[in-house]
Amino acid sequence: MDGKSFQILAALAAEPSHGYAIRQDVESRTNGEVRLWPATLYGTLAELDERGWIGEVASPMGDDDDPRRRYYALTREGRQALADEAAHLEALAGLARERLALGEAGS
Amino acid sequence: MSARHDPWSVRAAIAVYGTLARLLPYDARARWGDEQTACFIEFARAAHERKGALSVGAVLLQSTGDLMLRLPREHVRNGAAGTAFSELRYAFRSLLRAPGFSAASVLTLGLGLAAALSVFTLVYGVLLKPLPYGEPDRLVELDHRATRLDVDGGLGMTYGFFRFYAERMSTVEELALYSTATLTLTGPDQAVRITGARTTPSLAPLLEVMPALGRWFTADEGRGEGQPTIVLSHRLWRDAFGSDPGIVDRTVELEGAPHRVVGVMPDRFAFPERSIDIWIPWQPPTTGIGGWNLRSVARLADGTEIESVTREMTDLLPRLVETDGTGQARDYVENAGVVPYVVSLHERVTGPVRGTLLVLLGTVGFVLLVALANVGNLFLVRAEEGRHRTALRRALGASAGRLATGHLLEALLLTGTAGLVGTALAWLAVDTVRSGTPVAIPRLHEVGLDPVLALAAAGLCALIGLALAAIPALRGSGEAMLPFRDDGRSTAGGGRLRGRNVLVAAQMALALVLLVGSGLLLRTFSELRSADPGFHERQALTFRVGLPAARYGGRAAALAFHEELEDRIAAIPGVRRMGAVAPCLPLSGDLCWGEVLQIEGRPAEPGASPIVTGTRAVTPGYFESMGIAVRGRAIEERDLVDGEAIAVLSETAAARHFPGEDPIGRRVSLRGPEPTWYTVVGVADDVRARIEDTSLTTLIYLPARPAGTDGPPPHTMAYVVATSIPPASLAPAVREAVRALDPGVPVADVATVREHIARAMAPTTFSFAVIGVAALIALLLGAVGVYAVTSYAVSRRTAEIGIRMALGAGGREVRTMVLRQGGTAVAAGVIIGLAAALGLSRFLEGMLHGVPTTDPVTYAAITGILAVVAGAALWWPARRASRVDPVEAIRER
Repeated sequence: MDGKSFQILAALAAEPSHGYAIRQDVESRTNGEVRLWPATLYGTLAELDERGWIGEVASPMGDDDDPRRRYYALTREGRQALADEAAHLEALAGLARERLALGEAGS
Repeated sequence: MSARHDPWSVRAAIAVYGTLARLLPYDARARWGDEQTACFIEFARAAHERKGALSVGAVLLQSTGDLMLRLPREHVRNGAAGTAFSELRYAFRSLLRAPGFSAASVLTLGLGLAAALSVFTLVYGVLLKPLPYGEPDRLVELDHRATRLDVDGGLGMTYGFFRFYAERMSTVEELALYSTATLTLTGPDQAVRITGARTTPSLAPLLEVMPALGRWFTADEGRGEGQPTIVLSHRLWRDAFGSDPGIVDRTVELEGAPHRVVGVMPDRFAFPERSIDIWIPWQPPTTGIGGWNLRSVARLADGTEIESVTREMTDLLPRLVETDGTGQARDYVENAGVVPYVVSLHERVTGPVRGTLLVLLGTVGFVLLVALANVGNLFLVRAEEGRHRTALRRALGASAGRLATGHLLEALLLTGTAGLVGTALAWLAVDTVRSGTPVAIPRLHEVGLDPVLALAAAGLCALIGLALAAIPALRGSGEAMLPFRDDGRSTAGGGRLRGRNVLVAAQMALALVLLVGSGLLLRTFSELRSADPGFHERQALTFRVGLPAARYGGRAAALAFHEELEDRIAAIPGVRRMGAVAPCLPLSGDLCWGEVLQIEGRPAEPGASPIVTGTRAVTPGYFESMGIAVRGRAIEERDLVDGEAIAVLSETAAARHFPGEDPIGRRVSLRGPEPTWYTVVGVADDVRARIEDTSLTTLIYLPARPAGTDGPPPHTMAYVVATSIPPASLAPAVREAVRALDPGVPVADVATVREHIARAMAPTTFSFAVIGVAALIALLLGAVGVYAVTSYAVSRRTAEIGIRMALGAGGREVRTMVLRQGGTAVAAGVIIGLAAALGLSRFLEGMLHGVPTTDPVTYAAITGILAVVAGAALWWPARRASRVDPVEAIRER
């Protein structure tokens, strides 16, 4: 999974959200390191939608919201994919720590 | 917030992004397009609330870049790559089918972009980029002004003042004191003249730059204990030592004494200027005040403003005057009116070229506008011609959006190519200026095509492409079906021509402004060429010889060398006569060495402003070989040996020190405790220090004699050798003569007198060349524009003209009609251009000499030239119109 997909899934894991809010969330969580400009943001959303990992949901704010704003939430498959990715990353991180510890003990 | 209430920058950004988003595949647009645009709108609005229009521009640029990079992936993902490719191929083919139009657009726009990009690169690197030091905003120069001597900044610092400030100031956290000097570095094969900076060891830590190799000086170095140390510039390390990694701790011979290399600075470090080859540690004397030949840089304490530094220094001055036992500080403050003057380092470094660069930037901006007007014109013509094709495609079912995407692709292909051409040309231009600059531009080595600039240029190209793509849409959409009703060969409607006439007028106006600017500079140039520099020998060679102080200690030793050298050069065949002067030749741009004179029998009035007089030490042949006329007598051989001390004054010096009197026979001395009195024996014609004005012509000439200590030391002397053969051919023999005498002595600045004069005019030559080329391009493009529009109008009106002629109109009447209609647009452009030139030429003021910015001759001549060129461009189509065969024209219809 590429970094941007992962960040978007993570942004949607807690609650449904819309495009602009997803970007804001990712930017503030990564201290501005990951910035999603519109074409990449919506291109990635479209890809995630095609894979069936996210789906559109009704606006939690009802009819008061800007009608052009659409909200997305993780599907069950999406949630599973994010959990798998997290486990994968955890395994990798564990491996790296183990190897670093070995190196330090040896020197 | 509804779109109607958005600020213009947000609305413009939305329009641009919305148009470019058309390039996304249809399916993606249908499903995600609105939302994506809505998201961009939120970005743009948020950016505007944060930082205004500039920030919106940045968001637009980044979003557009993101969109462009994403495009291929989106097309592949949506299975639309094939369609996109065929659209692109279609656009490409249709451009190839109109090679004239495509080539003209790419060339015109490419030239305009190249001019704009190259000068903007220069402006960005020199003026806008922060200085390459740590927190450069906090760096200031601690300078002084001498209010009673009319020295308005640039006086510098003395070590006594510096010491006093350094011990007490709290508004700056670190200070450094430095001066530059020309030195001799003796290598294994030959000696070279290099430029060094003597500086307090605080300099590098203050600027927050550390050596690339080895170390910088310790705080105690420079006190004269142990072996002296130096730090090399990256360039000297590369050029003289072959980038030897083992250079640190090696010993080199500088000024005839061994010095240990302790470090090499990084390549970007060039303080105080690029010419510096080495840095030498130095500590100011612990007593005394000293002269104003030093400069000082400081770092502001956190949160301090420049004003508070000036205030603190001003408050400290009275205490310095009180505590200084020598009375010199009091003399400076009370008689010369010395006051502190603090400027940001950035301003000090870039100030001298700021005006010129901004004028150049304005100039190329105009060229770009002319180019844009021309390309706009080409697109208008093409849109008119393409109406038939467009109508056909629409009738066959192509949607308006599809056609618009086609136009967008065409325009982007053209501007993209023009952008590449422009960037390549700009790169060449910048490289040329960098390698051989005729003017001293500070920070030139930092100039380069920056990725930021490349991105900005790409953004600009995209914007231009969008604007151009809008032209066929504006032309085509409302009247798309029209060509089937009317096959487009009727009279050219006024409305359709009006747009082009506006463009023609704009081109004429812009060309006129540039032509006036270059005309004024041309006048300055010829003024300077005809200016009398005061010396009249033109067939001569000049050069400088500097003797290392360590081996030629006193004046006698130095003069013995020069005497021997004069004898040897005089023996070279082709030499007519020669002379030498210390420390510098006329037209060196500087006073070089100044003293305050006192006049016998006239004690200086307390409080009166002393006149600083440039002081020269000359050999007997100097005046004659330079061609400077002297009234009374010049300096002769006998004046060099002991005997009566004599001097020659320049005309201005005579007039200022002896107003209304004849100075010959009177006595003057340089101020000092036991002065030598010099009898004035002659008055020499004024020679200029700067070609553009007659300031700095107050001079006193003393004989270069071994006795005495007055005047500039004769270690560096500038020679002038008048020849009976072409002077440049003498250079090898001169170098050989010096080498034969002492291989450790370098010859510098070898140039003929004509080259020396040309160098003094270089800044004007450079500005004139740039603006002149810009004006020629603008004139050419403008003429082509006039021709194209008029030709096009005539060809569209062939039938109408045919009818007119069939009804009895003569060729002359038709010609007059065409000329009058085209002439109206040209005349409107000329009037607007004249008004704009009058308003804008004041920005040239600092670059003009002897010509007012409103010089009527220039304005009249330029208007005449423009009228002739535009008239010629109108004449050909008008002539063609008058030769229309009525029968042919009507039959064709």
